Amino acid sequence: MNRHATLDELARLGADDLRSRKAARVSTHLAACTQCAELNDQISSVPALLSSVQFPEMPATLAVMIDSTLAAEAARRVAAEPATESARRDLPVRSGRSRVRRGPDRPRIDRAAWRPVPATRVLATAAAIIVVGIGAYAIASHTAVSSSGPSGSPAAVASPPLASQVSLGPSVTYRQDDASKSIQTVTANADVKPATLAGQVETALTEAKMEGMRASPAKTGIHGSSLAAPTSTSAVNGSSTLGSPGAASASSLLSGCIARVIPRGQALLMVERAKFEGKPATIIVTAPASLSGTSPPKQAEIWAVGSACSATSTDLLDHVKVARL
Amino acid sequence: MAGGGATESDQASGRYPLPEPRRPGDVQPSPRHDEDAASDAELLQRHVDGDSNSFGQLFERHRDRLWAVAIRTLGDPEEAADALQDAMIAAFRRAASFRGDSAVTTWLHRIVVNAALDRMRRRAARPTTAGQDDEALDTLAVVAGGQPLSDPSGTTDTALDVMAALRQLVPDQRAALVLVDMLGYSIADAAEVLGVSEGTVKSRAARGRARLLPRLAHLRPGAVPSQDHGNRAAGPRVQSAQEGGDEAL
Repeated sequence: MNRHATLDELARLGADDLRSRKAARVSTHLAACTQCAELNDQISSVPALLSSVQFPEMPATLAVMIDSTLAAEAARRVAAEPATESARRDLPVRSGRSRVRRGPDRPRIDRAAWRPVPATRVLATAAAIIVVGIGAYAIASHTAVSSSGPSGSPAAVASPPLASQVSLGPSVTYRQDDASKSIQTVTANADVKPATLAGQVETALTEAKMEGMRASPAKTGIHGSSLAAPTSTSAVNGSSTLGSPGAASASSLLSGCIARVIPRGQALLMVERAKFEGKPATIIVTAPASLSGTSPPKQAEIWAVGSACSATSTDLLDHVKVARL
Repeated sequence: MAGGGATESDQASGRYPLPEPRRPGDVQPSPRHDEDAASDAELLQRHVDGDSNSFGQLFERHRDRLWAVAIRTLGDPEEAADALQDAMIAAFRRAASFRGDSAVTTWLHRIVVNAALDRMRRRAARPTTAGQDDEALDTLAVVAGGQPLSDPSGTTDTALDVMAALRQLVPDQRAALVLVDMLGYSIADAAEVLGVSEGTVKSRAARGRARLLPRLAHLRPGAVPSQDHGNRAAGPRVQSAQEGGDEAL
């Protein structure tokens, strides 16, 4: 080889991307040419340089956002299922199994499925489903139709909220925006369903307000008609206001969970201990801080999280945004 | 890159090995519902069968690796976040199309890479306003809850220089370098993720490195930035070589 190696040749040599004869020629030249050898050293150092760069870890807020998007997708999928008796019994297991069976006759996936879908569109769809669910619930509650009717829609499958099922629980302290705040939890014996989540939360909010009106507003953190205003309690430590060590541990988990879930710029409206599809869950309701004083709350977000929710794991079961509660 | 998961040293170095590809027959519903023990393929199959939580578990399991691919490919946290979200929605909806020809994690990586490449190509196709790239780099410098982007030397300059240089590459070369050089995937794994031959990955990586070098020469270990004599001396040589100069001996 009677010339210097090009940068491209050296890069391809390092990547084992040259034909053997040419690789041999370049290697022979490298052994005798300090200039090319130096250049080869430089290009060989590029992978190490690239791998040394550290990038930010995944923001916790992004993880929560994608969790909620996936939960909304799952809720949408469940809500779209045919409301057969077997399907209801097996929920959330999908009934149309044959549709997803793999095989040569499976239709090609439409390219449109690859098209990115903004999260807001997905959540809007979920919210629309919830609105339908609320409507179905309203009709059911006025006509006293049994929720276990054999021909009901998926929305009718969910248990309608019962009167007087909400009671005030212990206070929980959490941190938000470097401030320590507390809010009195609400305990409900309702089994919340995805299709009627917003409606059941609305009922719980109303009932908690009634309970709160009998309690001391300053103590409960639930007052007025908004149910907003978790009390800032710099004097309250982060543990809990509960008595037993087990309860304190649960409260500590809940504190971390709330701090993890509540989005920036949102105010906490309610923390409800309930069941979600039969599993122990916590329902967390937030609204934009600037709007949390409105009655009824606008642009509220509802987060259903499982018992494993903590400062490090969301354990998200469902998340919906509603224009108004 | 054999092995079923990242070792501690892998994690420490930021390199994420992919599990070995599975055979199509691996994707079978499991009679057990032990969430911790469920394989990726089992979780995906449960999701396809209608389970509401399985896909979320799958995402939880791999999200850090998928984020690592997205942020390195796009270099912009906001774009990376959007790409990752788009990819997860696409994967959620397309799960039934997974044939089991590769590992689930490879399939997920492929979807994330494609979502990132789509964004890069769209960005390249539309006219950019002045300062848009600077804005992205500024965002990259202060993200993740206020944690600054950093490199081992403790400065952000290296990382920003690298990202600025990567932005000059065509998307395919950049994706190859992200997988092979930045994340340490083997050529075979990278080829599987990118859906191309191993030779193509080698070629893209080599050309990408060749185009990066002139822009990164000042960052080499021992190189003194800006006015260093050695650095100046290396510059024209690198430039002429990159342009294919056949300087005779």
